Amino acid sequence: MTERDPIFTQLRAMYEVLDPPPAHLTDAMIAAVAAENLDADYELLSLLGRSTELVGTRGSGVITIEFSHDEASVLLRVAEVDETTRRVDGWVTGTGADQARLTSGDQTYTADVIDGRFEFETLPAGLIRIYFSGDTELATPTFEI
Amino acid sequence: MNFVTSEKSHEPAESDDGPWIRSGEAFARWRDGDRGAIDELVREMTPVLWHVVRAYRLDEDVCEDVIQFTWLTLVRKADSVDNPRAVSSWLIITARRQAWRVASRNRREDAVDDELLAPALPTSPAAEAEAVSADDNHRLWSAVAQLNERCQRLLRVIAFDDRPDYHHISEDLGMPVGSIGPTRRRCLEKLKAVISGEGATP
Repeated sequence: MTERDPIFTQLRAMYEVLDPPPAHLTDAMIAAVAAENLDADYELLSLLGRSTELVGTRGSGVITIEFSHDEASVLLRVAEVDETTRRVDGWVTGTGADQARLTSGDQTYTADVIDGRFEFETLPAGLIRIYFSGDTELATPTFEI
Repeated sequence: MNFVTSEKSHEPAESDDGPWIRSGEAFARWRDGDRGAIDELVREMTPVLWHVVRAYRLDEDVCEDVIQFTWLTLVRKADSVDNPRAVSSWLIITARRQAWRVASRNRREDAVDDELLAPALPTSPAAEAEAVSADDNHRLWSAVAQLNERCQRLLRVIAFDDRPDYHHISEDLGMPVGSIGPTRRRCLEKLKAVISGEGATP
């Protein structure tokens, strides 16, 4: 390979200082890899984005989170009930999902999907993951509510 | 002094193959049944993936998800990596493609607030002790910010990928593969021109 311009070394050092990965990132990835159940057969949904509906600091108000995989799409509306409790209203299309299973720590919650709609009224704030069963099995990545 | 042409060699060569080799070995051990070896690989490559994905101007949550997607895809499809020593390239390509997919789908919205991309101040003494001074870093950041988006992305990806795969980069950037080399050169020239324009101030 041709020799790299030394400026790439400076660019690298600059980005490492000025836009470093979040401090928790590596540990979160190690945990995600360790928690992965290799026996479960599902397609992974990708996060398209999250947006806050109300102006405020992170964690306040209502957050909308969107995931997709091929034709399937999932929209979640996460409301803050109080500091440690969340309510999740969800819509899922394009998968024929009839059940949503949500894991939060050691806890598992299930909800029926009716006409593409499901809800989890009371959830602890924290990291969760949602699995959908139907025509195809789908799973979100681990994410924070 | 113009830091770009400085001949101080205050850092080890970045094209050091060490991390690539360590990653390949850790991956090979993990595939052979050493369950803990994957942690070494995750530690080695997660920061690199961050910078590659962040080059697509995605916000933090989305970058984190793209990186998680990349790792979960690796553990689920470990057999699709033909050569364990190529695992770093495999990870970078997978992360870049996913970042590109998400960025394309989000294009209808504004990708990210400028605020989110504003440089954070160095937070640790270790960062302050960087051989390249904070001042130089901020000047370089401002200079890069004056380049077009494509140049910014290309330079950041190449800065963190010692063995850039032009074939895949060209697909992601929607450019013929033959034009990546010249584009890279033009982006570098522009960057240096911006810097030397500023270089007049001591």
